[in-house]
Amino acid sequence: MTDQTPKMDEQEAFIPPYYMLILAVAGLVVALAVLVTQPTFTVVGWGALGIGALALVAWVLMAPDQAKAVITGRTARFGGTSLVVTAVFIVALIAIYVFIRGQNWRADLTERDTFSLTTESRQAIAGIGADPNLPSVKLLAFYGASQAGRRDQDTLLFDDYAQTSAGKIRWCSRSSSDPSPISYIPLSGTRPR
Amino acid sequence: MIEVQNLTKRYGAVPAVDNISFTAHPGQVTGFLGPNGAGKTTTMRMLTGYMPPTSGRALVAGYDVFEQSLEVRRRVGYLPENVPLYRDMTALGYLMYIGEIRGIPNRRDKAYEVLEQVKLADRANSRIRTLSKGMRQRVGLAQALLHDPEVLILDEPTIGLDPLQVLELRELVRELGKNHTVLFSTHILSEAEQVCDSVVIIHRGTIVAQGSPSELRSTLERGGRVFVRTNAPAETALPRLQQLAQVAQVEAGLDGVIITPADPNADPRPAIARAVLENGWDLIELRPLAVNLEEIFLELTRAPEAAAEAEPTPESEVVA
Amino acid sequence: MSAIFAVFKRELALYFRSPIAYAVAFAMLLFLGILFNGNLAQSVAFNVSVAQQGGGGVTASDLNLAPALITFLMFLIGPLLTMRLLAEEAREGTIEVLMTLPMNEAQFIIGKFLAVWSYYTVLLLLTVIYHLILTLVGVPDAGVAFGAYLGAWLYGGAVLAICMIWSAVTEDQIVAAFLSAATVLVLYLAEVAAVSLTGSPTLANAAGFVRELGLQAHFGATLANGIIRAEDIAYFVLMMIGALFITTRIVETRRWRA
Repeated sequence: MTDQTPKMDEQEAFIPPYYMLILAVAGLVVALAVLVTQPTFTVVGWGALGIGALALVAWVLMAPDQAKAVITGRTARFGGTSLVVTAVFIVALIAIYVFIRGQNWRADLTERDTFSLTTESRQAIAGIGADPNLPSVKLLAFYGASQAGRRDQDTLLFDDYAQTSAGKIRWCSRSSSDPSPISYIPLSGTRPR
Repeated sequence: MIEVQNLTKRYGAVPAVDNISFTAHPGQVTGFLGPNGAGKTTTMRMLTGYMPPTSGRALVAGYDVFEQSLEVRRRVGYLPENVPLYRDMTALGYLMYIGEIRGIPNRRDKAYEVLEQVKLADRANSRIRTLSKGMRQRVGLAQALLHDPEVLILDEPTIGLDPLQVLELRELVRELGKNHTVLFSTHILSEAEQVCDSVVIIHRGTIVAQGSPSELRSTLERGGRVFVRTNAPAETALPRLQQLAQVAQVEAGLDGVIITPADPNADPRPAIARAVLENGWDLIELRPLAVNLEEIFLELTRAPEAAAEAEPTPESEVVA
Repeated sequence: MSAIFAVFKRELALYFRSPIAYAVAFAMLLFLGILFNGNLAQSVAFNVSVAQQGGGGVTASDLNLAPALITFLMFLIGPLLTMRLLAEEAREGTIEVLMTLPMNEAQFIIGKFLAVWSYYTVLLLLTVIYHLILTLVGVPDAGVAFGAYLGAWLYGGAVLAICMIWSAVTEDQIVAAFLSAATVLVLYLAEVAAVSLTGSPTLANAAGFVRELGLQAHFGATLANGIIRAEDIAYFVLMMIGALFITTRIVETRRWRA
């Protein structure tokens, strides 16, 4: 993937500018695929992202008129840019979603507090948190492939543990098929509500 | 007031309207003529802000149709081709709906007023699906009149009406033309001759001719083809007439001979009359081939096709 | 603003005169009624046996039966309610008049969306009667019911907005309905798809992404059980905004090409 960069420069003079746009989009799609499917953003991802960005710059340099028309022309309101604007809008919505998810705001509406600790448990756990002699506790919860919903529910309970114990009890959930090593940090739910 | 300057609309690479310019003045009915597919509807859609032009400018009531679309829409009444209406609404309900979107105050009174104007007040509470074609056309027109627009754009309003309804509608349009700017499209050209103060003829997306109906006719009477009917058989008449200096081409028409003059600015009729009498034939009929706008139109649209290679629009210079 | 309200009023009135809307309501209530009756009979029998052993009350799974079933039925309800909305205006050409009025596409589409969402809200409120029946036979958890109904309401709004995209794309109502149903089913089944992705070694990371893209991950485990999470509410609201934005763009581009 990464070694394609010099080849691209070679061809620049012979190929029409819109090939650059296709290359840019392809690079970004590959980078996105890497982001989604791989645990870490590998060298392939960075390479694809780099190629995408370079191709975009190359297109602007090769066809400045075209690039200018995309931003200022009449088609800006009705044409191909409509697609770009829509894409940007959707990306913005996703960003808002990710931000809100990061806030980790949740509430247990059930009258019986099904997904929260009872008062007695809370007192006991607060005692554990306050006692400097007790070692910190790590909870490890395993979930099968089809138990993601269960995990979402339990998160409330585990967060309650973590919060009530002032961070002394930490927890981590694991999918049964996840091969990566266990890491207890960062924990959700330790932020102040 | 409608001012169109170099307006162009392309669908992909195909130009539907190609670089047209014309002006429609207030207090006049401007006819927009052309065969089906000439670009009339596309032009009207651009003027109403429904469709953005590819290039060029159009000012309607002083506002740019692209840059100030909402201002234009406030001042334009539009009757689209085929008069799309909600069949399940009553005529009054439909007008109230349009009035509410337009934000017209006391729209009920206004709706009754325009229904009165289009002579449909007695059917105000009938569902549109039960109305005849002519009545629907009038509901559409009432919709276009609801907000007292400065400019009225009517796309083929007489299509599909019976002769009596056509006459009524033409009368109404002429009436409206007195205090509105009316742009009225049609492919029935005798209609434009009756209704319009000024005519723009469009063919294949370009303007072929524009002017008043009488101007257009006199242009063609001067340089257009001539029809002669004599009692001589065609075999003898054709070669004799061909010999005249003023005649470029002769062909047999229905019951007579069609003559193309050699000089488009000179009337060949006196010479033809003399030749007929000198040959001892009886002259039964001698007239310009195009007597009504219908035929003028055919003459105009025939010419560009023949001369397409030499000049793009030869007639537009002559007339405009 | 008055334009949105005008469109909204007309469309909502149309739903109460539309045979399809009544057929949808009838089919939905019939289906729910049969299932509810069966479920109730079963849980009453179960509770009687539990009561004999000292237990009591109605179990939590009964509480969200109606809202949960409605979210499942959305792949039918959504397309049937929305297929007409924009496709018919395009086919009949009535959109040409509307788009030459001083009103932009967004106002037009928001008005239509609010109308169909309101009709859906009425349908949803009709099913509250099942909850009232439950209060007669047991002590249902009002918090769970509230969460489930809030969830079903937002879920429905998101589905209806997504279905509107297809109604804007095609003039053919049937095509719009089928494409909508397919889209909603895919989003409904995303959670199931995520489960099978988890098993594959290379795509395990995508599983979470696919799951969160789907509708059920934001309803089934959480809202339907009385858990309110900010991301679930945000998901449905943003889904509505995004789908309506795309619809607006499509209507705009279609006009430009027409």
